[in-house]
Amino acid sequence: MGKIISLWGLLLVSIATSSFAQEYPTKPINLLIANTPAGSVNVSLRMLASHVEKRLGQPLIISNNNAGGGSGAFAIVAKQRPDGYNLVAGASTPLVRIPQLRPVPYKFEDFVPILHYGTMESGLFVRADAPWKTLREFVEYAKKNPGKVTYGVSGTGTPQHLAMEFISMQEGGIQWILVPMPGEDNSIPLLGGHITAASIGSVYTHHVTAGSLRLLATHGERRLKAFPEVPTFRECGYDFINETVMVVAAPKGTPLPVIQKLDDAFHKAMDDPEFVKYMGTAGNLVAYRNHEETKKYLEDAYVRLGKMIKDLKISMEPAKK
Amino acid sequence: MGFFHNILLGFQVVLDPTNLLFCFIGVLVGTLVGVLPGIGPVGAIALLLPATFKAPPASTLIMLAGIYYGTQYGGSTTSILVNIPGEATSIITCLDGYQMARQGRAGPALGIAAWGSFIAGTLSIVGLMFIAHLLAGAALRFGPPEYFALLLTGLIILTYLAQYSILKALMMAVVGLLLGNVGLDMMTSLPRFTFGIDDLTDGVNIIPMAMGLFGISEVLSNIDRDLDPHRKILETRISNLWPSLKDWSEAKGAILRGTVIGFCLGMLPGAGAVLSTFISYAVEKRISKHPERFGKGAIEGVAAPESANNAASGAAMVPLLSLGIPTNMTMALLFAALIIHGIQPGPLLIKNHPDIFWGLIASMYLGNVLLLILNLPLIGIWVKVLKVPSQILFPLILLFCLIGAYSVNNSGFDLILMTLFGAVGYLMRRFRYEAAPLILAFVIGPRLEKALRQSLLISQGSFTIFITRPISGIVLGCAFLLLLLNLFPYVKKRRQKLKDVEE
Repeated sequence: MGKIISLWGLLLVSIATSSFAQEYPTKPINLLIANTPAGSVNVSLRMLASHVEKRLGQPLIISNNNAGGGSGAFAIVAKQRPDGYNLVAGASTPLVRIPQLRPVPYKFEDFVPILHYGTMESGLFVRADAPWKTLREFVEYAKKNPGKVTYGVSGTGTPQHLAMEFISMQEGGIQWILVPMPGEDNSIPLLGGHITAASIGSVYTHHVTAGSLRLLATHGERRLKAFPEVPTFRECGYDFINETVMVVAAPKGTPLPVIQKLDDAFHKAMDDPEFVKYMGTAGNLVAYRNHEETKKYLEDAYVRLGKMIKDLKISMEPAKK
Repeated sequence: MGFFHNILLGFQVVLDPTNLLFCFIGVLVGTLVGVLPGIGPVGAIALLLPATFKAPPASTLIMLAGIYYGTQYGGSTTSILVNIPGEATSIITCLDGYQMARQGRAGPALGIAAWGSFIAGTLSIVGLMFIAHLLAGAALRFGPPEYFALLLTGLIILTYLAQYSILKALMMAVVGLLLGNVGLDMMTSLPRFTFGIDDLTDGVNIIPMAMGLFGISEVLSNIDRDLDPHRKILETRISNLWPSLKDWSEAKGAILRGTVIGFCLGMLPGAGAVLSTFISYAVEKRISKHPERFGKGAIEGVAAPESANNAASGAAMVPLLSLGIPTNMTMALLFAALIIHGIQPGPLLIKNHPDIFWGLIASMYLGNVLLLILNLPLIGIWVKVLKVPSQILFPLILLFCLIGAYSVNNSGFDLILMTLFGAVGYLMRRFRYEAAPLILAFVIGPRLEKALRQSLLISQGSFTIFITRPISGIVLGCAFLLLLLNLFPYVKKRRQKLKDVEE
């Protein structure tokens, strides 16, 4: 008897979920973007949103929250109902990196990725009038002149910071000086000649086009489309990749059919030529992985980053007892 | 020849009916956003940005810029009428603007704010046009040590803001510095003084804080006064609607000085605009023959900061358009808007897209005229707000504060913060502790710390970096002189006292 009831129950639940997925969405969907209004994740997502809305037949209600470098938004959505009407989007940083650097009220496992649609590119910049033409020359100079080279990054523990520490480790320890520049336009101190180099986002490549900065190498898997002559770190012999991707995610427990539907809607929206054009001008790359691949990718990135943070001895808050 | 040709091109662009409409929408939205407390240009532009994806780039930029400088016109309205700063750049306007309104001089206060904004706005466009490329390079020479020197001077100027007791003002400044420490540490990216509250990771937000300290505490102390049976009813007779000739002669110097200060500081990245309003106010108070009038309804105290914030908004365009460097969040949004349309901001912008650059400049001239036409008739309406009986006005003020504080970050925590600061602000009023030094120190503190630590990193711990670099050396020298000038009267008084005792 009990078995029959539970079978009935199972049947009902499966009917309910399948019809739920067919109907979904029946009301507007909340999307919280973990990025400033001017950030490239925000702008690109809002471009995708209009197409996603058309495909799903329901509006996306978008708001921004950039508290704590994105961890604020993820903390909010982690606690929301996993019904497909609460989504979060941003760089993968608050998912895979921040929880390994300081305590946050959510875990990587609290989320189901829906897709990633782009990669955040970055690289090492020097002034255009600097004597170093290649990364090799720059590293040699830094090795021979300990304490003379200062480099700026947007924050401690960022991939751009890790990239420099990685070189230093591989070269047996280089004494160059880290200057964090949080919350400001990261190109200014370098343009003004106050620091020697800057390991910053590729959004600053327009200074290279304008002839005031030089890009020595990039941190991505592939070369930048706009700068095909600039090698990647890996090509220069440093096995480092900035794996920050632009990701859309939902709270854990969101039904799989819903995830698939959203994945599909966002993926199709990526065909928009204006979106593609924007990503290029903003210095990012369009790159898609579906929900399963993104999950795997982020899990791997989480492990790799954790190991690197440990190996490079990046400062971390003592664990809570 | 080339110049007139360019200006002509600019006006051709802006006089196109579509662009004209975009310009009008921009300044109208800007005025509204400025008047509404909480929601600032960043929120408004972010909201409208997706709507411009399909519009031509020149129109987009014209409209978004209109919102930006339009906000600086509207920001003073609530500061003057109800003591709620509409924007961070209008916090200091509360001090004298609200006092003027209480004396029945809301009209002249709003009028001088509008005219000051117009004059400063127009002058800053002229500056943007002629000296932009010369000054933009100078802005780059401001590295961390130069910032440190400048911000230190700002902290010294803070002492001029004190109205009652200099000791209490300094105490409040220390509180402001402490509050400024809340948030992620710049070196380690680890939270400081957040007490495990995740909402404090990004620090205390200035908008709910200022709304609480000024707006909410004002409402609370008015209720307090209402409870007092012996209270004197404050009759807000509206004497006249426009600034008189006397007002003008008092304010004209302040407007010009405010413009220069606003323009110079506005070009620098960071909180240039906010800082310039405080500094221009302090300068007016310092050079005034009657500094005791400040905080009691001095028209210069409205004219100077309101001119400064408009000049700063024009100046902020300089690094963006000539170097491709956004110096604040709004500029970053304009930067993003350009990129969306496939236009790379930077030194090549003027050459490659003259229609956009000169169209924008021409639209700013036109926009400022539109704003003046839009704002002057509004004064008559605003002043009527003061006639609303307090049992209706006060709940409305509270409601607007709540909506405004929430809208900044969509965060319920900000509401708690505002209420908390409202209660603290009420107590501060009761015991005559001033909020202005607290807020100025709060604005300066974190930036000062960042500049200091960055400088010492660059110099590897040597403090000589502040003296050996020419700009920072000179600025620090001036700061030292300011400090001496401050001390001098006290020393003189002491000597006099000693002499008296001896005799």
